[in-house]
Amino acid sequence: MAEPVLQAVNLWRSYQRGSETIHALAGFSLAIEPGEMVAIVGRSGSGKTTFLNQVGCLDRPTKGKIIIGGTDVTALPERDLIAFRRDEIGFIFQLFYLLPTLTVAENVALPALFARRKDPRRVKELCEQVGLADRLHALPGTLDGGEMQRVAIARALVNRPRLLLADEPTGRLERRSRDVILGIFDELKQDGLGVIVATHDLEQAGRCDRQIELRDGTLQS
Amino acid sequence: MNASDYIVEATGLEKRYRVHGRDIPAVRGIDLAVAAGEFVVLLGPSGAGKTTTLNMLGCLDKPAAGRLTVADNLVSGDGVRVSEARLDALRREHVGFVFSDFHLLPTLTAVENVALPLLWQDRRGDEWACELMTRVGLGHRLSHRPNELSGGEMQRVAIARALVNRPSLLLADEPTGNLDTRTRDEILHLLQELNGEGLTILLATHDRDLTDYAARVLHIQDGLLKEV
Repeated sequence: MAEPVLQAVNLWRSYQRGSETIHALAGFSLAIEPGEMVAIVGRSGSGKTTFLNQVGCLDRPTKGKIIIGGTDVTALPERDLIAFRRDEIGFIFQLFYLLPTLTVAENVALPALFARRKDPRRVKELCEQVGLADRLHALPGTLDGGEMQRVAIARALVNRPRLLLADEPTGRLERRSRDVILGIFDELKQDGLGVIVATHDLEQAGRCDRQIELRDGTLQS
Repeated sequence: MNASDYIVEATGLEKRYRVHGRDIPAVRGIDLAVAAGEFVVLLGPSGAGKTTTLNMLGCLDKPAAGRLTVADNLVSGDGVRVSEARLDALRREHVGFVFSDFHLLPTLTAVENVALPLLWQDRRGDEWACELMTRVGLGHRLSHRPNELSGGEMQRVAIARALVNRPSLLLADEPTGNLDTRTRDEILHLLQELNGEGLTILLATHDRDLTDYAARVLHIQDGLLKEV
């Protein structure tokens, strides 16, 4: 059997608020196989974004272990963690986060440039994959929200990550754009990468292989 | 003054947008010149044409008509049609941008965000990025990610990033639009200091208080510059 893309084991993330300890994650575990797409659902404040930040190596858990593609990232020093995040994890956010002064192709290429790679063919292929082959030189200001999110998806894939994390990727889109994005996510499953989508979008959650509900930082059964 | 003393020179600049099959004029023939070392505020209400003007001057958008030079390079006019690639190059080389939304990438550290425009030019420049972070007062925040910074700090990072290519011109579009008044004043002080060090700044805003910081104020309304 293939090695899991992700094993998150008994994750805790606790904050101190005055004299009170808040547990944003309280012993949450999850494993994801290659090619598997998992939806994380739950109300605002249930711990979805905190969880994505932990497995995305953007924040460290208070307790627990995260193994991505065989590497225990909770044991990595900060410098290695930055490189690991860049090479192995793709991020998609609700607000796209494109740079307005860079073209579509330049935005997509950024994570590769950070890894000191230049691969214009990969950039072009990805733009084709998300249906933006004719917009390579366009600036984000000339795109609609759905097109901007497609650029962000291409950018998230440029370094061929093992794990793709999407935080409310359809949250800001109107219906037609959202349907295009959902179609692109359906196709991602064929690429063999693990995908986690935190979402309020019931249709997107329904199209995933599994749905996990978080409540108060723990699995809702 | 010689032509080359101006960083941007625009005459009869126009821009129209097509909305529901109708041409809506956004900028209706403006003449504007900014000399090297100036700090100019473009003041006007929302919808007056401020952003459209800045986008044209910064080579983010092409004028429909009029003549425009940026750092002595002809961008529009005299029958010249500049290619997208040339516009991209001019923008990268000569213009730094700051926006009200800071546009920092959440997965990168502050100093990585600053160094970003250099990457695109096969340059690393980590030391220069660190130096700029120190210049904007954030030498102690190099490895922080945007969500660990305050709004004012994020805008300082964005300013450092705008300066990393040593631009001839800094264009700031409502740079304090998302900041409280105290932070707003701190950011304007920083811009004023940078101007004192020789940086040419054109700042667009609806906030009349910001005019106190500029040596020259241009008023824009309904796509036209107004004499005051």
